[in-house]
Amino acid sequence: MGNLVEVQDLVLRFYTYEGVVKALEGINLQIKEEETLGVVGETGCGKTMTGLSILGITPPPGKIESGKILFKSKYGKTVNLLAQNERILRHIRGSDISMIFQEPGAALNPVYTVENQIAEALLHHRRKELLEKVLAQIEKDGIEKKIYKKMLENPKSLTIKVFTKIPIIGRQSRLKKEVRKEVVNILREMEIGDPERVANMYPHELSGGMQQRVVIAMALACNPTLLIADEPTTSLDMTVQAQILDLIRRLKKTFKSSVLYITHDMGVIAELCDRVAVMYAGHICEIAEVKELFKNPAHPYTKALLESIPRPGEEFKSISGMVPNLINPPLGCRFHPRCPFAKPICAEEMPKIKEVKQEQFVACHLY
Amino acid sequence: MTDFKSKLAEFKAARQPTIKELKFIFTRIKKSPLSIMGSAIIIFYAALAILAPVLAPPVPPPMGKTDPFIVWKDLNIPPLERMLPRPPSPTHPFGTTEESYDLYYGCIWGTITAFKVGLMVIVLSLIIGLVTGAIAGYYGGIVDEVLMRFTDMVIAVPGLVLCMALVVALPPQFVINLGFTQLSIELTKLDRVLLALVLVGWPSYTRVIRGEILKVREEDYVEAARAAGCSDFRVMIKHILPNTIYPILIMASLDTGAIVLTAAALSFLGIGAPPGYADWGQLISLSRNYIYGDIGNPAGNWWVWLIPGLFIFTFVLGWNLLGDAFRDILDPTLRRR
Amino acid sequence: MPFILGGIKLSIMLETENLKKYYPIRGGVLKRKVADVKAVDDVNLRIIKGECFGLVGESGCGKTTFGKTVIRLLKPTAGHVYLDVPPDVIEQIRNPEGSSQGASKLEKLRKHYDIAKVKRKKLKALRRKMQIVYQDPSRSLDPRMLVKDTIGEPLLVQKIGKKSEVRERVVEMLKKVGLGEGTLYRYPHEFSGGQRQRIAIARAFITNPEFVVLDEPTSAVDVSVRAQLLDLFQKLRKDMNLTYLFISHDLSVVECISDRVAVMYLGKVVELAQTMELFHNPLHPYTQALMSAIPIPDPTVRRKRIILTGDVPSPVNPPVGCRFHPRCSQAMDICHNEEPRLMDIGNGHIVACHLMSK
Repeated sequence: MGNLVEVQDLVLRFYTYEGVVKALEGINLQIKEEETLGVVGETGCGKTMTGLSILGITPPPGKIESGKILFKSKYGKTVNLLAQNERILRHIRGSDISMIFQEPGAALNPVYTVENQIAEALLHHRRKELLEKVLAQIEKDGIEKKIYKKMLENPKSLTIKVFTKIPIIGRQSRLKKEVRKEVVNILREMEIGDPERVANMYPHELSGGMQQRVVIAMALACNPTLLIADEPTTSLDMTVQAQILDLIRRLKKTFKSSVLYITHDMGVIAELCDRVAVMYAGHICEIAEVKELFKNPAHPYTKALLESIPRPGEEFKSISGMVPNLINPPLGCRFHPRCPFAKPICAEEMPKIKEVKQEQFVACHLY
Repeated sequence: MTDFKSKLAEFKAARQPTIKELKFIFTRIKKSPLSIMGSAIIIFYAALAILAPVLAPPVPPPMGKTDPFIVWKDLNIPPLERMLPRPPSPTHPFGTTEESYDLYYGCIWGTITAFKVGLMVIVLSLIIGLVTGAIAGYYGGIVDEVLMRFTDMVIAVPGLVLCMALVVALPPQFVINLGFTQLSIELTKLDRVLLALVLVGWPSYTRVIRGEILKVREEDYVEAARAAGCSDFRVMIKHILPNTIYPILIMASLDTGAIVLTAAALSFLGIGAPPGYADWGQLISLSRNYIYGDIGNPAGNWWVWLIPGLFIFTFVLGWNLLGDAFRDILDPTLRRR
Repeated sequence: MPFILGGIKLSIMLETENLKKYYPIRGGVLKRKVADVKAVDDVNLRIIKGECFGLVGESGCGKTTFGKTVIRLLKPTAGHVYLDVPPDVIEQIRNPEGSSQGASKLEKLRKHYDIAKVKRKKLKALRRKMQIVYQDPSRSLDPRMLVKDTIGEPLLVQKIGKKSEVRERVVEMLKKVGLGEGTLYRYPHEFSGGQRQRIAIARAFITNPEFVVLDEPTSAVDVSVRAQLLDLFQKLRKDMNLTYLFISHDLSVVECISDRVAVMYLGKVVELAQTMELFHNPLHPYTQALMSAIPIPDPTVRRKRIILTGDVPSPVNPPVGCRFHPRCSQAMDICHNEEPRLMDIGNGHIVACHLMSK
């Protein structure tokens, strides 16, 4: 399995009123095909920003200073996402790479029905496919067939634009029916009972779990090769979280996509991911296979994180100190003020990431 | 000695947050040229108002009156020519209007009147609007319904018409019978204008603050304050109002300009300040007959309406820009909070 | 009767009797009441002095409503709440015929002790004894008040101590929660989530309360900070002799800090037991499903998941009979018709399920 995404030396800075926030400092990450990579870390470590950088939607005043993000597109070509213009990125977003966010209610537009919103994604990326299906259905060679053919060949022509605006004739009912069939199909695959009814509902009529399923449906509507999930189950109940995790696991197999799962919950990581990347204060501490990470954590931060998970009957262990301010981060390794194994070199030089064991990479001066 | 030192350190520490806030506001103002312009205009006018007695010293009778706010008339001009306005000259830097009132004096002292009218109306409308809006928003239910319907009734009447009616209808003297004595409050014409503007202006503040309070009322920190045992009054004053006041401040600064404009309109219509009063609108009212000059020379008497008009225009512009600047600074989404 | 657990007589901090909290839904032009959202429906619970009582359930089950109703932030629709009432008084209230006083005296007692019914003045004094810590510290702290004012406010409102002492007490409380004097003159937004929660804790604990409702206090913070906060809660409980009602949807956290745990579903308590007993031997099918949904931070263990079908029904029209029966894989005929009563299985373990009577 080759690499689907390769992030090389990504540097992201935010230019704010209080100073320059060095959010990501030289991130190196690989996401292989058909694997689930978990990115875990505390608030402010930069995991969400990594996901947003891959899609190219980092919010202002953030600027990507340097680095490359190599992505293997569906056609086999590898492109550097940071060097593409907006038009190409818009093609990639939604169809090659999709993202789902933490608050499903906020990701859905409250004035459009579920069907409308999924149809929007479908029509933008899979229009040709749907039009071909429609054309295959029309037997009679009449005006209708000509119009659809024209839509397929020359979608931007003036006649099409005018025609679609005419009230009754420009309804494109066949296309709409085809889209609806596809939408109901996708909803059914999301294990939503009664997808016909749900397709006509508005987001506020659905529960949190259902909303998140609809968001996942929108994300997977165009068969992306990479799904970025930014804490999708944090705001949901436990039983609903279990359902959604199950769904993601199953969908990954069906759609053969990779998942970049961002979270701060180690339990979810253990459940869902194949490999894990641990981030702290804008740089990656450790990348390892999930079983290895939990059994033999190499980086002191990973060790401390695993120990701080509350266990019944035991004392509560926490990590002393606080997450550093990224405007003035500590020199050298950013974790050294809180590290029980800190050496003098840790305060001077930022450790480079090394392969310690087979498939286990650590950035620490202990190795 | 150490006690004093520690108290000083405490004082300094206590002022820190305010200092940080002010620094932030200044940097934001500096970023936008329009805000700088707005602040500059207002500061300029404020300086004009404070320095008015120096820039345009009051003229003693018989040309002026004892009240410095009445513009002095130039009696040196022979009676027959006194009616016509005269162009700017060394004795009259801005010229004179009908009946030889000195425009320069009128405009400078008119600044004070403008500030007085604008600020007093705003402050009084704010107070009334805050109280009614806060009660309606916080308590809800039937109190809310009654207050809001009354507010709706006031809004439903066209503003300027209501204003005019009130100015005419308000008595020149308020006599309050306290049983053993009588309290009589004199209302000059200008006072009546102020009062009318207040009575027409308070409903918009009520609605805005009610909306803001409805948003803030359900917040956790309000509930936490109640859990600590705060009375309703304390919750409103210390928690809800400080968090809801910003849209009101923005509205108030934008409105100041509009208030001055309305007052000028009322003066122009003749129901505002008395004739000869140092008020920009009043000065334009005096120029009514001379706006159009002679047939071959339409802008013949340009100074009678252009100069007071420019004063009004720039004053209102300054407040509008300042209001926009406030909105930019106080907009919560743009703040780094 | 006095509460006996494991043969030891314990004193009760909080007792609720048939507590109900309904929210009316108004519809139509005249806004008449159409239905009720039965957020808390007939809950009877006893919380022992000094214990940490966990209350778990999913969104919509009514646990937050219960927590807020019990300290009278919401007015109960029906039922009684007794905070730190001596057992003989409760005895009198429960058995009015047995006692020598008449009905009016009973009413007076109720008015005096029943939190659901006390008047405003007495309620203000009671607020000193019962406090609450909210879930999201960025929303529970007034963004325009300095930290020192936020923490000092309960002291001023309750008129505890002289005005000059307020600052000292605030600093003392800050030290107890692990923050320094430098936090006094700053605004909440300048702090991290964990520190903000500590400020909220300082505010809640500064009046030396006896009973504190903790409404999901660790849900909005990171894992490493969670451990710090839980440690702080334990320490404060010991130092200040407190009783906690710990509300959470995160079972792994509840398991670590609570002595006894109750599970709520759609406004009713379905199971209640000591923590270890509940987590090792859950009897109610809903509790079993909840337990199986907890993600375990160990990739070698694959838990057998009990996936519940469907969503949580709305509390406006709860299902007839056992409220859980539409989603229960072991539902029997009787579950459709009759609501199960809470039964004591032994050792303080109480369950409301028809399966227990088999």
